[in-house]
Amino acid sequence: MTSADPRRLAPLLLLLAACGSGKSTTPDPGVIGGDLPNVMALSVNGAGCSADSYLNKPCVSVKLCLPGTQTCQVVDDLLLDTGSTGLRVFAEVVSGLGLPRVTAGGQTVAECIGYLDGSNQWGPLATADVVLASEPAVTIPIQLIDDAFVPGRSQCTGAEKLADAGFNGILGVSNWKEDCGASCTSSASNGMYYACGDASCAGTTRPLAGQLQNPVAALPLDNNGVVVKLPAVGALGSPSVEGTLLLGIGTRSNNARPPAATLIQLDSSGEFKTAVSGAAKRAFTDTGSNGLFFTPPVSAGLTTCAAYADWFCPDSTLSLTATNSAASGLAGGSIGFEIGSFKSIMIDQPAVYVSPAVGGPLATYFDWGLPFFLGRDVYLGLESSSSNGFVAY
Amino acid sequence: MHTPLRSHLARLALALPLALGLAGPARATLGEAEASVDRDADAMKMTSVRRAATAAAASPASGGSVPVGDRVVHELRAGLLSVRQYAVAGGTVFAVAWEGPVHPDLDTLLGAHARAYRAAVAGPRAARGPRRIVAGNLVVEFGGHGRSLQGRAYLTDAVPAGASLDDLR
Repeated sequence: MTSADPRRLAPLLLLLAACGSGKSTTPDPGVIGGDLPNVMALSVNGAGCSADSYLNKPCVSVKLCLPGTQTCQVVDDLLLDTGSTGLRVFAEVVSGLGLPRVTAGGQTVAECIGYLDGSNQWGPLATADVVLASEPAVTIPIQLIDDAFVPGRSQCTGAEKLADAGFNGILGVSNWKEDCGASCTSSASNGMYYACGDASCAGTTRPLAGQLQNPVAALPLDNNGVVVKLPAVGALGSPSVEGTLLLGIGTRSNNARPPAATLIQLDSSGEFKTAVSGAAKRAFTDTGSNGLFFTPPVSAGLTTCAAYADWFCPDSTLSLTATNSAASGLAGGSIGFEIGSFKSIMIDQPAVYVSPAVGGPLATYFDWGLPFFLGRDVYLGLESSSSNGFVAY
Repeated sequence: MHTPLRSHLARLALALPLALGLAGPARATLGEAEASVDRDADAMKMTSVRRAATAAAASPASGGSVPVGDRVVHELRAGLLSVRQYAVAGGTVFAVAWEGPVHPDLDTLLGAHARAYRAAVAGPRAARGPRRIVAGNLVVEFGGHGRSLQGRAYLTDAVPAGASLDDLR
């Protein structure tokens, strides 16, 4: 990925111009309600996304308002991430709103959040009214991503900047209700939450309600999960696709989970198991991962691309089969997928930004990234008092 | 973008205040003497919880076992983050691996190799997913998901003969 084609590098100035701050009234471009209030537009490299940023990036738009007011801004080009929790927006994108920062004991609460690609984001928490689709606004803490917040700090160094990110922020709708959970309520050395003065920060505990909240969990009705719906794409790929994110599962006429769908309960790490060959490995689904990352069977002969060490480049597209199961051992059935050449699909076809057949090596997990979601309605159930959530498809 | 955090780890609250990512003077680590682990612990405000020389002794919690008797694994913990450093007994640290809700301070852990790593990852991101960064003899890998991140770094020319990369977790 470090050596990828320059055309994959996002022209962030374009998207910044497209989402300047200001007061907004209806209609809100990019926030499509349809007949029901729980339908959110979802796109890969299409409507509401910065053009040609990177492969397999699903994006959505969300309206943010100063709490209790109609001073609002629609923020587009937010990465839809089912692998993280909470809404995070680069501070400069919403600077015009003047969202109030979250404080505790006279200090500003800030967070360091890490991702599977090694990146970190840093910045203060702020309170916002968040509007998903045409749902009622929910007042929750969000993160204003700002690597320059408390510049003299010693924590979370090397945090991401807007110019490097490829999006305006992240809408995290994982199976968890909060981004850290119970562990951050008792230990100040959690590594995520900090209380900051002007010149330095120190680790702090955060009560559950003060952590970044899954905005879906905060909804009055459609609060038990989401459905990701994206159309199928041929192995050779497509420039873009349009789909929907439905809020809630079984709460409306449009989001019932089919009885025949494969249902896999998640364990206490939000994971299940996937076997491609041999022993099953830990697995998760993640729209924020832009490929299928796993350890292929040796017999498949899959090797990485000469110039792209993160991706496979087989001579011809391979069909593989994986078996999913709950961590408890309950079988979830087999699932077929394809791996083609990242170079042939992505580099040799400059217009292609969506492909179901790209993947790379990962030793410890099976990471079912965005390709898993193409052509498949995926139901992602939130944790409840009796479960860690589920994935169904 | 998503840990095998378990509640038993969470309960290991440490008396030391934590400052993950604490900069400070360049301390030792990858590629340096085994004794540098103690300086890392100090620099990163972490506590050494385990120093095992055999697979049996290293087997609990998170599977960081050492398959050969002349190698040692040091485990450091701070809050929810655990860092394992692999060294040849009395020799150099040839690999580090971590697991937790955040990544550790790589400037400290990578020591003299941090500059090469930072240069390799500088600039706009072209994609999102688990990464494998190769900079000369240094390999840095990242993975995991929310609440549960993982990673490791090793020196290809320092891993002892017979050591399996699969065991460096």
